Parts: sequence; C-alpha cells; structure tokens
Amino acid sequence: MTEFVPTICPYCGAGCGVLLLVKDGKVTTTTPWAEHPVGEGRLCMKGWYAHEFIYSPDRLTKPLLKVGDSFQETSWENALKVIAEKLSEAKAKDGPDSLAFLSSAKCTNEENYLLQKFVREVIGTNNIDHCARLCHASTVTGLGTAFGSGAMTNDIADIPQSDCVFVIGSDTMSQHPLAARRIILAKEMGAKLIVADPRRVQTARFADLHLKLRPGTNVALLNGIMKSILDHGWENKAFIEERTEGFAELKAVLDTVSLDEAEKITGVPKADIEKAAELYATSKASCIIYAMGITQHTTGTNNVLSIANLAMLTGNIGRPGTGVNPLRGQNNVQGSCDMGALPDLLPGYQRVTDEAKRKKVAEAWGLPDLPTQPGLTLIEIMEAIHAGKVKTMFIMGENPVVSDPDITHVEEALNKLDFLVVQDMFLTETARLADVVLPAASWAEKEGTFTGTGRRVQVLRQAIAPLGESKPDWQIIGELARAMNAEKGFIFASPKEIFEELRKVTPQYAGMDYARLSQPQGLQWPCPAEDHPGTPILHTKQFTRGKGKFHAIPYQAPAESPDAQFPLILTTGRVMTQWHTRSMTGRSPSLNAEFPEGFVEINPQDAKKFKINDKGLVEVSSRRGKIKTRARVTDKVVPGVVYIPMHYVEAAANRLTNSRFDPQAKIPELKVTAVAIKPA
Amino acid sequence: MTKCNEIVQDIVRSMLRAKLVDEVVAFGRGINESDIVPLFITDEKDAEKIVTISYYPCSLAKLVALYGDRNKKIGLVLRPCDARSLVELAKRQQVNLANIYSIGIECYGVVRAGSNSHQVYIFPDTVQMDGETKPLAEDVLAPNCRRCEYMVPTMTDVAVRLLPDGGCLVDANTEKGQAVLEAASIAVTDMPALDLTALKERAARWKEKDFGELKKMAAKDRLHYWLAQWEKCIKCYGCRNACPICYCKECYLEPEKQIVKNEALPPEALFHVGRLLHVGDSCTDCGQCEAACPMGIPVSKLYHMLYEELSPLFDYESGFDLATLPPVSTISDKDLTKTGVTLD
Amino acid sequence: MDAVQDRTFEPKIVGFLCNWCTYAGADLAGVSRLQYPANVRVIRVMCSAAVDPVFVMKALLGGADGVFVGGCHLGDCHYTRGNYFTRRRVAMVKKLLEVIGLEPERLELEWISASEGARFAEAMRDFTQKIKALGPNPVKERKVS
Repeated sequence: MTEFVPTICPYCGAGCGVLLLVKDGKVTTTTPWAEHPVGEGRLCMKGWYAHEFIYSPDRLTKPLLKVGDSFQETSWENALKVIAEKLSEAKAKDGPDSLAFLSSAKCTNEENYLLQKFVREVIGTNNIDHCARLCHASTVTGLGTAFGSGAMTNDIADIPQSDCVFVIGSDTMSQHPLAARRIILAKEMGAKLIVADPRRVQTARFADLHLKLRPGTNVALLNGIMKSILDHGWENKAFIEERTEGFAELKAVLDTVSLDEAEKITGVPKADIEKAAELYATSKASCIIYAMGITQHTTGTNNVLSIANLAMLTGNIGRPGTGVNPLRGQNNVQGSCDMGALPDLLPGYQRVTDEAKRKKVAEAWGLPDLPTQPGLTLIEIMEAIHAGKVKTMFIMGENPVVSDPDITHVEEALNKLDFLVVQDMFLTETARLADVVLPAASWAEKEGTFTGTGRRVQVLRQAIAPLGESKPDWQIIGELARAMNAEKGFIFASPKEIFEELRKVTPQYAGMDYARLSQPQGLQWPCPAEDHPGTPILHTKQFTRGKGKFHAIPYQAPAESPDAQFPLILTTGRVMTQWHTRSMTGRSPSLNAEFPEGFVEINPQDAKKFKINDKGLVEVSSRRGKIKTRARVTDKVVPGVVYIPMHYVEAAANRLTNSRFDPQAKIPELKVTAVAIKPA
Repeated sequence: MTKCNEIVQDIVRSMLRAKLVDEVVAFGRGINESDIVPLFITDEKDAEKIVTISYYPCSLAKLVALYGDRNKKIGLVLRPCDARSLVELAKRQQVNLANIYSIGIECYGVVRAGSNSHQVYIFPDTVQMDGETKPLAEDVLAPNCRRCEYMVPTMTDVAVRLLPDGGCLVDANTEKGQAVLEAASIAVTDMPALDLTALKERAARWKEKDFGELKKMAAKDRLHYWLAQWEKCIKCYGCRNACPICYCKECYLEPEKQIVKNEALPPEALFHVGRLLHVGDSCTDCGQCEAACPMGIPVSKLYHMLYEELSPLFDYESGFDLATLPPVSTISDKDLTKTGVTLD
Repeated sequence: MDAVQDRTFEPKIVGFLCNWCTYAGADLAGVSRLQYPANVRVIRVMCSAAVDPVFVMKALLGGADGVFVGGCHLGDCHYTRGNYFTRRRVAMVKKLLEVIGLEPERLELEWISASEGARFAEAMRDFTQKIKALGPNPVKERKVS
C-alpha cells in the first residue's frame, strides 16, 4: 500500500503544504503539494527533508522516570500517576501559582488549547507561556494596540501585488524561503525592494536599497523615514484623517527628530533614509515584512508600533500588496497565540482581566470562573524559580536550555525545581533535566490544525501510527487531566472534537470546521460564521479596533551598549537548514550536513583589530558567559557587529545573550548583546 | 471530457482485473477536483479517481524508479515527456521496463503549477477550461511545453489521444499494448496521423524566442545572466529532487562530497553546473525542475538549450530508443574512425 | 579590461595530465630543460577519462582562466579506450561553456605522448598565449560570497 498524505510542513510559519509518501505504513519521503496556496508545488530544503527525523534512533518511545542520575523506562500508567500526584501535591502545598507550564508553537491548535485549558481549569493558574514570548510577543502587543489585531495583516500570496517591499529585520530567503519567493516575484515584476538589516542577508543582494543599520536602532531609522515623509508631504492625509487617531502625538515626536541625528544613531546615510522614505511612501502599494530583527529587543513593542505608524502614515494597509506583515517563526506560533497559550490572554486574545469575556469562557467550560490574575511569562518564570516562587514546571515540546536568553541562568533555574516534566520527541538538553519525560508523537503521527503566518488555519493529517509507545500531545494532556480527576471537559476522541469546542470560545475561529479546513487552502481568520469565506486581508474598511492608533515613540538605546570591556554588538539569528535548537534538524542528516556547526561572523576590520583569523577558533564572551566557536571573517556584517546563529548547543549564542526584556511584551533582547572576542 | 477519463479508467481497471499489472501509478483527484496527486492504485475501484486533465505536477517515472517495487508489474499513465524519462531511467538500470505497462496520453502542454488547474484540457489550438472551449493562448502553457515537439507518445505501450469534442482514440504501440487493449476489450484502431506542422512551428518559435535572446547576448552578458539567476538559489535541491533523470543515490552535490561547498547561500554556481553536466545530455525537457524552483530560475530553459546543442553533436535523441546509451557514457563506432581532439 | 594589452595578466591554468602519456611528456620537457610558461598547475590523473567534467567546471567557475586536459594519443590509451570518452566529455563541456557564456577556448584537449616533451612545452606556450589573449575569466568579475 503506497499513498500520498497531504499535510503541513513542521518547520516555519509560512505553513507550506507537503505530501508525505507513505509506503507500507512508513513515511518514505516528502514532496511538494502542488495545489497548496503557499508552496504552490515548491518547497525549501527543510520542507523536502521534513520527514528525516521521524525515524531517528533518538526518538523516545517510552516514558522515562529519573532514578538517581539516570532515566529508567516506565509505563504510561506509572508516569502519569507520578506526575498527577506531584502536580496535585505542589498545588495543595504551595498553591497553583507555584506551578508553571510551557506550551509549544510546534504543537497543534488543539494541543495548545487543551494544555491552556488544563492549566487554567485543573491547576488554576495563568502561568502558561511558550516560545512566542521569544519571537513575536512584541507583535501581539504592538499590532494589538495599534490595529486591534496582533497578526499579519495580509498574506504571503499577496506580496507580489506590491510595488515596494520593505523588509526589515528578516533573513527571509533563509528563514521563510517561500515568502522570499514572493518577494523575488514582486521584484521581478518591477517592485522596489528595500532591506534594512545589519547583515548582508541574502535578500539584500536583490535590494534596490540596503540600509545597514546598527542593531537596536530600528526606531531611530523608522522615525527618520517618517520624518522624511512628512518633510516631503508624502503622507496620506486622507487616510490619516479618516481611519486613524493620535497623529498629532506622533507628529510632535517626529518634529524633534532630525535626519542627521538618525544617521548618527543608525549608521545609515541620511540620503539612504530619504531614499527609503521616497520609495516606500510614493509607491502605489507598499508592504512591510519583518521578523525577529524588529521584535527581539527591549524596545520590541515600540519597534512594532513604529512600523504600524509608518504603514498608517502612508495609508499602506488594508489593500492588496500593502500591510504590516510579521513573518511568524514556528509553524503554529500564530495558532498557539490564538489558542491562548499565553499568561494574560485566553483563546481568541481575550484578556484574563476582562471579566465578561473570562466568565464567558469559564461558562463554556462549565466553571464558575477562571484565574483572574495574568500569569508569568517565560523569562519571569525563570526569575520566579530563582526566587523560590515557582517550584514545579511542565514543558511541552520546548527546549529552553538552548532557546532562551542567558541559558546558564535557565539551567540553574530548572535544576532548582522540585519537579520538572518534559514532553518531547527527543531527550533534549531540557528533557535531560526532567524528573519525568513523556514521549510525544511527531507531526506525521497525529492530526490537528496549524495556523500559519497569514492566519491560515489548515489541517495536519496523520500519515502513520505513533512510533513505539509515543502519543500525540493532545492525548497525553487528556490522560493527565483524567489522572488528576478532571474527567469532564477532557474526554475527546479526536482533535476534531477538541476543535469543535475551541471554536466556541475563540471568536476568530467560530465559523471553521474540519470539513472546511480540509480544503488545500484552509481558512484565514477571522472567520466568524459558517458561511464566512475567511479574511485574506485585515483592516480593509476599518481597523479591528475601529480607528488605527498612532503612537508617539521616541528612540531608546538598547539595554546593553558596547564599552571598553565588551566592545562589539552580538546579534543572533538562524541558518537556512537548521531549526532552533536542532532537536529536529540536527537529527535530519541531509539538513544537518548543510550547516553542521556553529560560527561567528566578524567584519574584516574587526578581525584585524582583535587578531582573528578566518576559520580560526575564537572565544566570544559577554557579561553572562563565554563560548568557543569558529570565526568567519566576512563583510556580510558591518564593523562593530558580530553574528552567531542560535542553534548550536556546543557554541550556544544564548550563553551570551541578555534576558533584559521589553516592559510590555516581556520579550528578551536577543538581538543586541555587548560582547568581546579573542582568539581561543 | 469524461469519456476519455472513462476510457483511461477502463484500461486501468482491466489491467488490474486481468492481472497484467499489480499496481497502477497515475494522477488522480486528491482532496478536491483541482487537487491532482499521484495515486498508487491496486484496487480497481480506485481507478475512478484517475484524471486526464492537462496537469502533471511531478514525474511518475521517477516515483516508480525510487519507490516502485522492481519485482512487481506496474502500469503507468503518463505524458510523452515523462515516458521519455522512463526510457532514460531504464537505460540507467533504474526501472525494469519489462515489468512496466505504460499508457501514454497525447499532450499539447501542461498548465503551470500554481495556476488554477481545475479541469483544463489543452489541444493543438484550443483549450478547454472547466467545459468552456477557447482558442489556446500559448502563455498559459508551461515554458518547456511551448518548446515541445514530442506530443505523441510513440514510446509507450498504449497511446491515447484526447479529442476536443470529448472523444478519445486509443492505439497500441507494442505487443504489451495490444495485450492491454485486449484485456480492456478495446479494438486496436490505427490513429489518423496528426499534422504536427503547426505544433513544430510553435516549438521552433518558442525555442527561437527563449534561446534566441540568450544566444544574441555577448558571451559575458549571458554568463552574468545565468550567474544572476543562480544567485537567487536557496539550495532547496528541488530541481534535483524533481528531475526524473537525476537518479544517483550518492549525489555529488551533497555536502559530504565537498565538491560543492556547504554552509553557503547562495550555493556556488557549480551546484547548478554540476547537475547540468550530469543530465544535460539526456534532458527530456519535462520542466519538472523549473516547476519545482521556488525562486523562478528558468532551469528547464538552460537544460533544454544545452540538450539542443548536444543532441546533434552526439546524434542522440533522449528518451526514445532503449538501445542507444547516454552519449557521454558510451562511444560510438564512428568515434573510432575519427582522429584529432574534436568529434568533427 | 583589455587583457590583450594588459601585460601584467598572468593566467592561472589547471592542467589535468594523464599519468601514462602527457604527464610523462611534461616530465620529459622538464628533464630536457625545455622552457615553457609557469602558468599551468599540473594535476596528475591516472587517465584523461578520470577527469570528471565537474573538476573542469570547478576549476573554471572557481576562477581558473583555463583548463588543459592531456591524454594519450587515440589508440594508445593505457586503458584501451579512455581517451575516446574524454573526447566526448570535453566536447560536451565546451558546448556547456558556450551555453552559459564562457569561452569554450578556455578548455583545451591535447593528445601528447610520453616522448613528446617538446610538444608539451609548445602546447603550454600556445595555450597560455591563447588564454592571455582571451583575458581573465569573466566569472571573477562577479563576487559571490
């Protein structure tokens, strides 16, 4: 028996469709899915080899229990019993807020929904967060306040209709290749391309204008561009008048901005700032595409607000080819946010502090009320462990020991816990610290829905049975809830049943069901009714919040600036074929071989200054730690900046990074760290 | 167009019923009418999913070479270019043609992946889209199809011709083909010869257009054109993975071979040229490479251009005669009579 | 730009020489103290047919200005017919060079036997001169890092 199973790629937020070739119950290969609207029969390398880790010999197939310093295999029954006892005990002894949970943007909507329900209902705390905190938390807060909806306004497929594409802080060709496809298409159809990035990322090769700004100076650059737009009268006065509010406040800040000052802060020549302003503001339809280069800053929310300002100032929103388009990182990070795997938001971005909305959700779950206080975010959880406030933790499918900033601190925290459960496919660096490890099924072994960037909800189909005794995360959570005597509300025969429940409490998903979602194109939220066709473009007639809100954002320097001891700025990112902490790509031979080890990119000028040789071993240190890695001397990075990909645990960039975070979004400043470098 | 679909489905059912084959590989309906996916059919009742519309999202010959069971008898419903690829794969010992029953469908071009492919049938000068007949606008065709002059599946066991009125003609090219038609109780009819003049003229015109503008360039400009195209590459390996002729299990484009450097984006030009060296002499211009390229590199144009140069040089037409081997892995008797360092 | 006038242009040439004939010919040229330009970097291969076209292209795309392949005379191949294969491959690569916009003259094939030391020296002089006239490999104008 041989068949192709259409499903969704497990890597980036683009959410391309793939066909898994299943032969005699085994996944044999991955091929593109021609009819899928995102991939259109094309894939990047990660997509083509997305099946490789499924049969990795490292897959966990049995629950593990830590006995002394080592793990012993145990039965599901026993593992769940131990966990249920420990969680109940902790809740009784130190209160529900002494427990914290991490959900996962690699898990389905159903799984995220179920875990946050478990946390809020069975445990009774809002201490649930996930890696969105590290990527687009600032987008959720920033675009939420400016527009009323913290998501990509347009769609990837919409980019070619643009006349000017402004990419800022995104290495699109490496990280969202199928979105980059649309940028290149737009470019070849005559659109202008502006890239703002401290590195010569591959997209920059095709740029009409490459703004090599210093890391952490996004607001200064964007304010400079807006200032120049106002100076030339390029703003869209009718749009500002009819559809927005707060312009006077913004203008007051921009009046204090000077382009000379912007040049001094950003390192981008004044003429280029003006050129960018002209290209962006005078094209018929301009879109902004951004990613971690904007969000991972102590001013992350402000960066996003500035982007929203720029789009509204020129009326580039609500039409095809325009918009503010955050490219979401994980395949389901949009969905896990939608599902309320966040400490302050219930499903559908309903605030836990909004009593009416909270009670409505509680009622749907058959409860009188839900926890009312916002819980702790990812970084705050680690702090709370150090402070002795959080003592028990449950991590579903995340690997904070590599992915979080200042991982020495994270390791110490996790070691300090009374009890840690990790649910994963592999014995990751984090799982090694756990007391109980639960084996989870892979993407090919379960059903559910994923929401890609562009708010596209689509169905993940099961291709094979779970390996060994591993189970899909939704089953594990259900069983755990039942082991903790929460029978009602956790009995689901399939993810489809979970979806039927979640769409009742998630307004954006109200009109969706599996039958509609099963079409190759899925549905884009909001889809409030069963006859609603979904929404490819947001804010067409009016903003979700009514009027778009300008925010007055003055420039603020990053938390750390280079000094005599740490004279360089470290900025982090990813490489094309590796994914985050490499728990999957590191186990995919084809992908791993392309970028097998870590490195640090350094400009030739700096290399000379610090006596660094190309391919030589170097030691990079910051206030928090040091790592050894190999140097790559290249003019890809500007002088004063070094770049390290975040994937490699043996040379982990996050040993160095700073956990200082944005006050609103609580996203850490992974993009700016003061470091020193010397030959090792 | 249901009648032709029915006939092809009938043939497939009969092949399975008569146990001529254990499995049939063909394109069929997936999730909906326009979702066309490869099917591996062992149960005759699944034959009803098979479609014959002008869309061909991947190479079935390659699928069979990679994942088909060599000891099984396999039926294949394919287009002429893919049938040629099948012959090339057989030359390279990747498929056992003796075990394959091929049903070729006459093809005047496929529609590009990504456009609406719902029920499109292309004929020499008309196109039917969702039941509506219109004059053929050549730009709906995939670029390689516009250059194609091999519309007739002469290299398959059974040849099927779709007719614009919904009808269908069937012929057997081989004894195996006759057995298939016998099993399906279809009388072997000699198909009326096609006048391919207009289609060959179309191919020549598009070749002139596609290749001509490159050939007219100064060499250096042409070099920079290709280098610029290759700079768009994101090294997805899609062209290699989609190419039916790329069969090596150990591929020398891969990092461990250290011929093409890893850890670099875009990959060095050798990534493209290396593959061109390997398959350029045998390219069947099926266009799968270009359809798989996320960055819109005109891959098939390059391969076809080289093939057109090599074909007369080596007197080699790829994909027809099983007995002629790929030109650079063989030498001819004529070679032995020539002295000097060139083949002239 | 005009390399013909550029007297300082010293081309880099990669020479793949067959162990049994051309390499021995080069050796003889050396032992005989015959003068020829030092532009060629010799790589000894067991047979000219062992020169995978990808090596030729690796050299040319990597910035070599010319590639020289030397084998036994037809009929003299140590492995009977290797050089017949070489001839086909070189013909193919020359077409490929033309298609992608590199001068086919940058690749040269010669049959030079072990006794033809003087011919080897002459072939090197001629080829170096030819490449000097062609100028630097245009691939080098575009830096991809």
